[in-house]
Amino acid sequence: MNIFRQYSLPNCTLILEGFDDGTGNALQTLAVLSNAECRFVTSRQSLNGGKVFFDHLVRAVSEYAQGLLSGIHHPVDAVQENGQMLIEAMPHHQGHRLLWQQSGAEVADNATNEVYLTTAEIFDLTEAIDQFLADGLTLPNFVLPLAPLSRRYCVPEESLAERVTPPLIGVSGFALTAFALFFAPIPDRVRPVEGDVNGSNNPTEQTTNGTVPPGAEASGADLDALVTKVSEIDDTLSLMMMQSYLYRTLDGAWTERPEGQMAAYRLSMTPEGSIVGYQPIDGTSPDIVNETPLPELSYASVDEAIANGKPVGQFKVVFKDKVLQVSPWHGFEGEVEFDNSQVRGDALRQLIRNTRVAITTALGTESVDTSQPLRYSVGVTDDGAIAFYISETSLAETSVNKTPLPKLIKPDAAGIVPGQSLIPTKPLTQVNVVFRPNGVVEVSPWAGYR
Amino acid sequence: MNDSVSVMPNPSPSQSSPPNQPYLLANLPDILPEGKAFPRRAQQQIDLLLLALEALELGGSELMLASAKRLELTPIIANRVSLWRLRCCNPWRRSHTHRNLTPDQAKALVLIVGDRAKQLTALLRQLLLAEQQLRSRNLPLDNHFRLSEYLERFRAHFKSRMNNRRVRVMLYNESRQELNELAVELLQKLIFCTGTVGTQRLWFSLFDGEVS
Repeated sequence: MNIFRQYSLPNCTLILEGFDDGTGNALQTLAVLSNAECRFVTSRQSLNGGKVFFDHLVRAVSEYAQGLLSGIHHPVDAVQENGQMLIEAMPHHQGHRLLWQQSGAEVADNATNEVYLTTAEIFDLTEAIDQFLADGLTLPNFVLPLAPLSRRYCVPEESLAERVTPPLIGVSGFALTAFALFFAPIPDRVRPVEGDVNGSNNPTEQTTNGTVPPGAEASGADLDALVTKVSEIDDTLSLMMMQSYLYRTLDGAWTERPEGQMAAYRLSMTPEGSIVGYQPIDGTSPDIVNETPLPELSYASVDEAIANGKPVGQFKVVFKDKVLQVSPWHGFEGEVEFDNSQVRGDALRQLIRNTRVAITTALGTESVDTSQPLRYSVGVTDDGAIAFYISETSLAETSVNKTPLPKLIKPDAAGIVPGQSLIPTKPLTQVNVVFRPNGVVEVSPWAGYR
Repeated sequence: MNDSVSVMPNPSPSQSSPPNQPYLLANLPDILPEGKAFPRRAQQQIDLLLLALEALELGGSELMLASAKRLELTPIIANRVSLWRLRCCNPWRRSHTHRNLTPDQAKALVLIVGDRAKQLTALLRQLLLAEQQLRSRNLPLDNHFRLSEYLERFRAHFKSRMNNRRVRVMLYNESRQELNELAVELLQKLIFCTGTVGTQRLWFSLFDGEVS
């Protein structure tokens, strides 16, 4: 005998037809389903089918309802052999489409297998199915546990490409910056050029080199002895004169300049211009001395210098990367002052005038090409000869060849003769000379007109 | 009978038997492992559904508290303030508390949603029918008085409570059309909550995509 079960909802009626399994329960149990029908009363559509259809219907509708609730599409199981139930939302909120395709021998042509449903109808169908599932007297073994959708099936809203883009841009930007900074030059370590103020102990090199003139390379002990026994020259002018002589000499002698050389020495020099001795400092190895011009210069012996008792000048000489640096060991103290002449009044004015004329005549029609004023202190003898010049600024020093000063000086007029004396022996007037950018040459006495 | 779906006999919108709280909460199994934070999307969903319920009927929050009392959820939701605090776990809120719902709190809120939705079944059906008819004739949704009232209230609530600095919220706020769509979507979800196992369906749907 057929058993009917009907679940009525406002929009949908689910009718199940089947029969008992004959176990003889008191209550009739629809144990075997023969036909299932969904009637949508408002839209006058219906779906019809057997057990296979019903199986698929229940699963598909339940999953679809969960999908509607969460907004994430629940995928339908892969096409099974006996048929496929497809439910999908129509575009533009037009409702939902349910499509049933049964494969196999029994294809019922007359049963409609496609319906268009509103949301309310879908809900009523879901509710009817839920009521069926809850009904213990109808297909009690048919269970459908609810479960959330696994992450595997969840397609993220943004595609993988979109989600990966921002971190990828960040990492590649970082990589590019690192690459670009790789080419930034490493700043050179600048070794301090000025000598130590307190003359700290230098590492002494005891090994001697055969090619060095005997006695020239004084040991540290010898040089120290020299300094203690003989006073040091500390007059700025003297140091400047000696430094400039030393620089010129070494610069001229240093004809072969190797790459990347670094050698530093402490030198003692007499006021006549003889080097008493030199000693490597700052870890300079003794072998490098052959690549410097030091071995080729003339030397006085240390003992003679001590015996003489005359003061000596101490200098620090650095040969570095084809550049020669010479500086007094203790640096310069105070400004240059050497005005010891007695010329006064009209004679002084005349002297200045003559000096100016000499300079401008030597300049001729050219003007000194400079954007900043170039300042020099010039030593003038009582006879009007320009003995030497001292650059007041480093720009003046580097631009001195644009001026006529180097051609004009006559050091011997003041008694400056290398080998005899580097320091002037005659009285000198200190004169300021300034070459202005507009071509004007200013000549004035350092001590003023007296 | 399966274990994960259990059902109240004779469900009908008018009658609601008050089962005791442990039973109700036990109906909604814990899905996430201990200590894992409640998913943000789920917190958004719950709050939006409650917002829709408020927009459907005036005095919504009072009715929610009444539901809580009837369902004996007062240990979890004692008063209006605690209800508001739980709803502020929604990251979209202006007054977002940066806290997460505990599973029990979430279950309580879901039960309230289900209970309120069941009480409004008739209204929900009416509005959905109106919406479907208007759409099939390509008419704007404001033509139906009750529906447009709901949409307007929903938009107002949304604008006043949600943090406009968030991009999503800003996009919604800028488009009246989008907010309307959101409101209708929530109506559709609410009607699914009125079913026999509506609360369970809602509960499981909250974790879609959150489990491995």
